[in-house]
Amino acid sequence: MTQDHVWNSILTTFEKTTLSFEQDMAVITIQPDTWLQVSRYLKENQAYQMDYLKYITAVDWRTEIELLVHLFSYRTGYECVVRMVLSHEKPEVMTCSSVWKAANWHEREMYDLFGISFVDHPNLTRLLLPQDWEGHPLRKDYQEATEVYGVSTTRNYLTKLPSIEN
Amino acid sequence: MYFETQYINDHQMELNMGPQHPSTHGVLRFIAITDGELIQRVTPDVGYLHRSIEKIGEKVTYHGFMPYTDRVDYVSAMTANHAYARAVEKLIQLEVPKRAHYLRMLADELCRMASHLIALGTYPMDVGAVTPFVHALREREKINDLLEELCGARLTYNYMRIGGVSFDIPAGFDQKVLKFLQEFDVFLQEFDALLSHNTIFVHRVANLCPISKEEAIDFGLVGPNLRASGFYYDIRKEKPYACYEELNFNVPIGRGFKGVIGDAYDRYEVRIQELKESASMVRQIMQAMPEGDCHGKAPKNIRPPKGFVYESVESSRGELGFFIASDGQPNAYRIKVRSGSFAAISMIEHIAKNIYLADLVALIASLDLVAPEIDR
Repeated sequence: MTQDHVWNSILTTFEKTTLSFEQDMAVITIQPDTWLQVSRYLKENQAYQMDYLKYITAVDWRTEIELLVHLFSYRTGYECVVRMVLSHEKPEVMTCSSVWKAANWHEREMYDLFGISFVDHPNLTRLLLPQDWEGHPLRKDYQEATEVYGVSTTRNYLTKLPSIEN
Repeated sequence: MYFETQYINDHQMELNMGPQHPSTHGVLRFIAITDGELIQRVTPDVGYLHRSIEKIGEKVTYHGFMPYTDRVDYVSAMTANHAYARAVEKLIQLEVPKRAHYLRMLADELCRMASHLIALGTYPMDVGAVTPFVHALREREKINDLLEELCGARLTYNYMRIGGVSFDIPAGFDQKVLKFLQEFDVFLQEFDALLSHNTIFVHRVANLCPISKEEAIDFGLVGPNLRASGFYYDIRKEKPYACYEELNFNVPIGRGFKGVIGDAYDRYEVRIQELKESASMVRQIMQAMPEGDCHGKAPKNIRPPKGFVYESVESSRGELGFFIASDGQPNAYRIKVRSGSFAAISMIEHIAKNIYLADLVALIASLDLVAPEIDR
């Protein structure tokens, strides 16, 4: 939806909320502390009725972490990405799993791979990686461990092969 | 991980199922708290097939990531190829020749048929009937032969390229496709007689674990599973990509064929009907195949401008989309895969309550979970 006026309602309701476009996708940048109210507004307001949460993803820009929530409405056909900028040291935001049940696992995945903690999440544990994994691998500053459960993560044997001349 | 069956009290027992289990369709684990044969709570444990595809995507070039998209969902690899190609094409604003669009649709629909045949074949096998599996796999082999002739691979195709496809159809291909479709119509009648109206199968899965429309939407369920709940939504119809708007096809939805709307039988029947629609689409595509070039004109080194994009296609398991964030470098800054099975498995915890342990197997099979797509 490229019409700007569609999003006027949300822009005026919440302070410091801006609208931009990425290709033809509406991107609504909000303050992280208003996320829960914004999510409820987007789902329950008759003008939007965002009932389908497509995915939650994050991008690590080294100085900050950008959290993106892609929403779509089957009823009105509107589609938008809600963007939040979180601090790199301690990324923290309220959970929206009470608004969309689909968010539960998406947030767990983001916690697992990016270390974003979702406040009041019913079960914020690692999803894809083992529970005792250290670090959050999709962060840009992630250092791969040299050893996992006593198994080396580098293939030293490749360098030890005899050369063809010998 | 070491697991010991725990007796919580006189009634409850914690039971482990998987990761290696014939009915989990991949490596997938469930921890069930049972009271006798009834499940009180089940917790899926995923991640056994996590191959860090998203992290690999940050290291390789845009062209180089294409083979990895096959591995996201190896039962329906063509659609993953298509979704990724579309995302990059949108990012660099690249036009695709019309013949390439048609070839992509042809590959997608053949692949969807192959994928649904796996789903419909393993479904009865999980509830105890082995014969339909062999019948379904026989037809899938024929599709694999066709796709092998098209692109040289049988499972991980790597067929699509950014801006087009890798090969045009070989000589005599259309005759082979038409011959296959003729045989396929006979197979469908046979399969219906064998399974769809089979009293034992119908009684086994009808009225089992119904999912309401509202629940399905709330959990982000997509594709045949969403449509089986009686909700009409198909990306091919609502937001046509490639040339789907030129094809004439119906979108089957669950109507409570043998029980209530959205039960396990509806999820079966919707896939059967989708097979028929796909077969008719392949016929239309072969008839209307335009002439022209099918190779794209993508630059060798793709350096998209800074920004992000999300594009999705209707895969065999619903919406499969790629999110790509770019910072202007020849490799993506971040790639995220949104898959249909991920939503489906997150729902199991919610719907698998007070059902029999054996019904959990039928539920997993009816949702057509594919583990690599969950873990990526």
